[in-house]
Amino acid sequence: MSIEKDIKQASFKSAHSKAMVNIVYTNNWLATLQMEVLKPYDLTLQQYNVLRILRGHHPEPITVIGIIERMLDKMSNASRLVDKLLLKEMVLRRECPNDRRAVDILITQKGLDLLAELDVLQKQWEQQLYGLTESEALQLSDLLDKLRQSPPESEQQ
Amino acid sequence: MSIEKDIKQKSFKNVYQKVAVNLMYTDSWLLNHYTQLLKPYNLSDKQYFVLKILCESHPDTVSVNFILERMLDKMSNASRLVDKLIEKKLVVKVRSKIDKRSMNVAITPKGLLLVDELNKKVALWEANYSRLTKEEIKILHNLLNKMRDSVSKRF
Repeated sequence: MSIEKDIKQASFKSAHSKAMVNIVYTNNWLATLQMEVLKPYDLTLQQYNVLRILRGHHPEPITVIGIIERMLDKMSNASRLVDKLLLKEMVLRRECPNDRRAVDILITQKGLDLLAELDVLQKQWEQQLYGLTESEALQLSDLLDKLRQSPPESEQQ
Repeated sequence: MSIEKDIKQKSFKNVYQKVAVNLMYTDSWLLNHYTQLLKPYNLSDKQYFVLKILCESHPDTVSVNFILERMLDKMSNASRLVDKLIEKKLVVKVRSKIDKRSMNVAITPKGLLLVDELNKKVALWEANYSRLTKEEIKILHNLLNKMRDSVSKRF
C-alpha cells in the first residue's frame, strides 16, 4: 500500500516531506511488529536493544556512556533502562577497575539465554518480514545513510 | 556517515537486520531534528502532527478517530494530544454538525498561524538537509512501501 493510503493523506507538500513521513511511518510499523515478538517476554524494544549491545561486548563490560553511543534512539534514558534490566536480573553492575567513579555493566547468563531464545524468533520474524531482495535491502540502507548526510559546509545556513 | 559508524557496530548478521536497524536509527535521527525545531514553540512532534491534520481539514471539523486514522504512530493517544492542544488554545472542541451527540475538534486561528510558521521552517530544513535526488527519493518510497506490503499480504 502506498503511504498516501496508509495514512489517508491525499498529497504532500514536497517529495522530501513525503519521504520523511514514509520513514517515520514505516519505522512505527516495524516497531509494532517487533513489539509483538517481545511482548510475551515482558521486554520493551529499548530494553532488547540494550541487551543486544551488551551481548555484542560480552565478556567485556561496557559503561552506560558506551551503551548510549551505541543506541539507536539517542534520546532514550539508558540508565533507567539498565535499572529495569537489573531488576529482571538480566544485567549486573560492577565498579570499573580502571576508573572507580565509573560503573561497568555486564550481561548475565539469564540475559544471554533470553537473547538466544529471541534470536530464533527474530530470525523467523525477519525472514517473514521482507518482500525485499538482498540487493534492495542494501539499496534502502544506503539511501537512508545518504539522507542523514549533512550538506557541505558552504551550503549550510 | 554509514550506519556502522553512527552506532559503532562493525557488522550485521544480514542485510535485513542492517536495514531494520538503519530504519530505526534514521527515524530517531529525524524525530530528534523535529524536536529541536519545535522546542522553541513548546510543542511535541505528535502535537505538531495533529495540528497539521486539523489544518488540512480546516474549515471542516473532525472527530478524534479521524485524527487517529491519519497519524503516523497508530499507538499514540489522540484524545490526550487533543486535550494538550486545547490547554494551549490551539484547538477547540465543537459539536458535530452531523451527529449532535458527538464532539469534533477544530483548529483555532492561533493554531493556524502556528502551523503555517512551522510548516515553512520544516520545509526549509527538509530541502536544505536532504542530499537525495528526486529519483533517489522515489526509489526510497518504493522500497519502503514494498517492505510493508510483504507483511500486509501475509497477515
